[in-house]
Amino acid sequence: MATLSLKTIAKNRLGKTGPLSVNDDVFGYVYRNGGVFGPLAGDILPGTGLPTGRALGRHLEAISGKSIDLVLILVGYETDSTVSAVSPDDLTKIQYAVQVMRDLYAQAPLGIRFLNWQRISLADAEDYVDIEDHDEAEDLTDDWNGPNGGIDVFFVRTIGDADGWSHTPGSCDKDEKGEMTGTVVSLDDSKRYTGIVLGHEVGHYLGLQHADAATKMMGVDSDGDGIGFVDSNSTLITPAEGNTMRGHCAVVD
Amino acid sequence: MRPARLTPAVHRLVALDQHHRPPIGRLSEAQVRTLTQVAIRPAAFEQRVSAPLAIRALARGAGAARAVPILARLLGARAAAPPTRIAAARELALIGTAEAERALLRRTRVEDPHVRRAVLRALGSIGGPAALRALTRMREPADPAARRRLLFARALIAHRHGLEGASLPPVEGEPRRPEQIGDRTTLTAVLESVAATAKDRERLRGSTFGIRLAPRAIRLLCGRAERTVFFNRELDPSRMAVRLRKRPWVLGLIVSWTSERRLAGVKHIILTTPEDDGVRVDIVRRDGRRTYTGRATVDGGTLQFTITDTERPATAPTYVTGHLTARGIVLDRVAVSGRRIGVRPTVALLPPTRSRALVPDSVGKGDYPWR
Repeated sequence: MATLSLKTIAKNRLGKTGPLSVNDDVFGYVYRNGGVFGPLAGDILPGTGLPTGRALGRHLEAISGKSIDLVLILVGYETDSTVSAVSPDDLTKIQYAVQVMRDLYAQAPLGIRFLNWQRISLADAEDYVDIEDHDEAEDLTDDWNGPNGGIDVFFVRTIGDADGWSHTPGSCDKDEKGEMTGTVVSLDDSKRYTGIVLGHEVGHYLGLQHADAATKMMGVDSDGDGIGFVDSNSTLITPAEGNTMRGHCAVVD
Repeated sequence: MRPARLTPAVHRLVALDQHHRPPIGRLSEAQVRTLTQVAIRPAAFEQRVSAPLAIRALARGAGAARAVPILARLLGARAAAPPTRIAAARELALIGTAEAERALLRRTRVEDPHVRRAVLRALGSIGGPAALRALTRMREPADPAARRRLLFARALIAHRHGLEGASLPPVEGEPRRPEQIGDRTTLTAVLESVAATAKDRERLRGSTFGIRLAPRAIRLLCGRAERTVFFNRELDPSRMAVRLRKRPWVLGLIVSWTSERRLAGVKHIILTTPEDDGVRVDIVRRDGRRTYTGRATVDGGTLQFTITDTERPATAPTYVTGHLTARGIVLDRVAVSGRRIGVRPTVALLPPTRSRALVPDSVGKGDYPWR
């Protein structure tokens, strides 16, 4: 394997020069709340079989190839935590979920490069903090756009009829009418599982349908209601799925 | 005190970390009691559980008579987190009995703005004349979102029951000239068969806003998006033109589909209001945002209509004229943009220089209100 230069990759793939913080500038994990992933209880990341960590070499290798950028949108976030719908624990949960997703997507292989952190205030979010169903999730992505250059992921407090929603495949035009122009993910679940759901929903956005087994990241829709069964062990991505993901218009070379 | 442990059967209904919601059968009395405890104090259990899922299970598995008092109590519980109380309001709306309506009416003045808006939405979807009277007496809230929901709740009830005086205030549609609408996409409308409509109806989830659906629907294809228009059964096409002039109506529901057409849910409600020489048509989202408006006139047995989008963020420029006959819908002129304009931008969370101050060290876990 060729030697990976942190500074070269940071400059060429992330546009970062000068002094670098690996957590902030390379991984995009800008929040701290007892560590970038918050308190952990011996969780094991999928793919590596190792305790949670940030394998820098693996990440640099991933973002040197085909990659996507994510726009992480916190719905109902306020800096005053006495009113915010997104807690400090949620911020590190999202960072952990992204790490889980990075480990999952390494199977494709597909890197996750930039994390663009955005928010919708509690007042502006209105009822989108607690999404009732798919249609309300669609309204949310209709009404709001993150900046261009990454797939919008809206993190909401709860979703009534599933833990996340996305269209298959998602559009690269965020102003497109009639379909979800981003994915919506609930923050109500555990860290690892939130990462699985994040990978699953963005997987839909990248063109993946439900799979045929609960061990796969895309789960299985055995009762045909359009909502896949996934759990904390739904981690596998097949080579064919990887090809589909890497062919989406949101993927950068 | 040692946390309680749920039985596998109950745990399955309320467990976090499950994307697919479990089917809910008839609950035993013991299960109802346990689920009530989960809804009130989810942290008291050894397993990680969801209070909103407990509410969902109670509402759908305990039977209306048993569930409504429990949901009413949870809705009024000031100590409960907003998602719990919002879930209670939504489930009361789905139960839709007179007792459920009364329980919601008792909570129109709850302090939490999110819960109050959920109550108004729920009342709009099931309320009758008594609810309309109560909502009419309510002072219009300063919060624009709450005001929009209050006005829409009143309008929904009035239109469902044919009552005058509570329709949405008229708004002008955008003055669209079809030739000026860019990024056009296609729009087609096809009258579905009775069999196809019945099949679609089976996949429809959630409230039907108190109307019974007609046996034939219209399938709309707009670019990549598919919608189905279910009409109010009381307005069958042969009598629609005459009846629309008589009173306000909920003309129908526009539903959207998930990928692969697996599930459908109501996205818009079509309201009509008689006017001097015709009928005003308002197409309103479930949150009370009016997305399209227009007019219909009656010419013999034919209903001619013109619809445009309204001025709002994220509108998609639209100008459609057509006519509705007993045999279906004909679109005469279609100019529909496939792109939205003025979509609201999210706000960058970090200033240009990195800031960790957004997660202050002093923040305690006890002051977070949403759990």
